[in-house]
Formats: sequence, C-alpha cells, structure tokens
Amino acid sequence: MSCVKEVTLPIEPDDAWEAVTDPEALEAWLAESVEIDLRPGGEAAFVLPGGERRDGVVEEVEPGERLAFWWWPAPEDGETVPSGPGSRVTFELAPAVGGTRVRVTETPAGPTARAGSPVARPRAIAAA
Amino acid sequence: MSDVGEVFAALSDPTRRSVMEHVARSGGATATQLAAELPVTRQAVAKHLAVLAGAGLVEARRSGRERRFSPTPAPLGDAIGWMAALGGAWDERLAALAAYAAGSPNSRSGNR
Repeated sequence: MSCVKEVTLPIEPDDAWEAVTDPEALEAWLAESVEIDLRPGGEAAFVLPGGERRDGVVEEVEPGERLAFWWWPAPEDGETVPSGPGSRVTFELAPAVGGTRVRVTETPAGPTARAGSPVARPRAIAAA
Repeated sequence: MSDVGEVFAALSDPTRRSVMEHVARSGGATATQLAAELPVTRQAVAKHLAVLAGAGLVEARRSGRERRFSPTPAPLGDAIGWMAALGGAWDERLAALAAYAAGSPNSRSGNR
C-alpha cells in the first residue's frame, strides 16, 4: 500500500537533486525544520507544518537519482516507542521534457518500522 | 480510531493479504477452510489470522470445534482514510516544491 506522486520541475537534475536533499531547500517545501545526514544510516529530524516532530533515518543515497529514508512520529517525551506508524519515503529523479521529473513514494510500515528497516544493519556492522 | 500502523503491518505480507481477501470474500471462514483454498498450511493460516485479528481486521466466533473468522471493515476504512490524507499531504508538498523550483534562479520557467 504505497502513495505515489509525481511532479516535473523546470530545473536541471542537479538542481532538482539539491531541492530534494539540501536542508535549506527542504525547509522551503517539505517541512518547517529539517536536519538530515545524507548517507546510509544517517539520522534525520523534521518538524512539519503544524508542529509534528518526526525522526528519521536515511536508507539509500544514489546521488542525483534517488534518496530513500524512513521517518516516523518522534516518541512523546518520556516514551521510547513512536506514537504512530512509520513509513519509507523515496525521492526518485529522472530527466524529463521541461526539466526533471520527481517521483515520491511513501509506503507505510507498521509501528516497528524503525526496528525493521534495513539500515539497522550498517550501524551494527560499524559497531562491531 | 484503530491503530493504522498495525493495519499496515498486518497487510504488508502478501500471503496474509490473500488470507484477508479470502475471509472478506467468504464473509466468514475457518482456518481449515481457508487452508483448503490457499497454498499454505493450516498452521500458517492460523498464524496469519491471529495477526489480522490483532490488527482488528477480522474477528472470531466459535463455530463447532473451530473458530469462524469474519471481516471487520472499520480498521481498513481508517487505514484507507489515512492513505488518502497522505496523498493530500504530498500534493501540497509537491506544489510547494514546484513553486520553489519555478522561483529558483536556474528555473526554465517564465521569470527571466
């Protein structure tokens, strides 16, 4: 069960990549506040319009082409478990007539999205 | 409001989706009946039914020696509503992204 949306941007793929990965750019359209460590296993934090806080982790970075990350509602103060379902989000870029096509896919997972995400493994390997 | 996270998790497994589909189509079935229609063992069907029941997607009633499972549609409706809201959120975000891109110095659109 995924949500898939597309838009064609009137800019070159390099500029489109920056628009979907640079925190300042992301703050212009995705969220009011964005922190993101743009590498597999990198942590992310968002504050959405309306104040909802989300935590996240980057799964995959294919420069210029694809960003995949997981995000979930940040646990309430004092809690360790997220207060809602997490999901996997991908931004995929492709050259298109008129500029660059951006395809967004958000696939909700269950409440244990973080535990189940593949990026749990790189951390374990790095710690070994 | 049901836990939509549990619903998505429950339906993320393709076999379990088949079980759910069969329960919904039959209007009520036992694990034995479902196993007869699916390429999985009765034991596997019973496990899937337990997950579906945990997510509120099916409920069980005693029927002779076995329990009969029937669909409970409300949690699925909640999950569908959640997905629709998600679509609306991305429509807004991508409109803002398009505006950001159109207003950027390297944009190909009108403003030169």
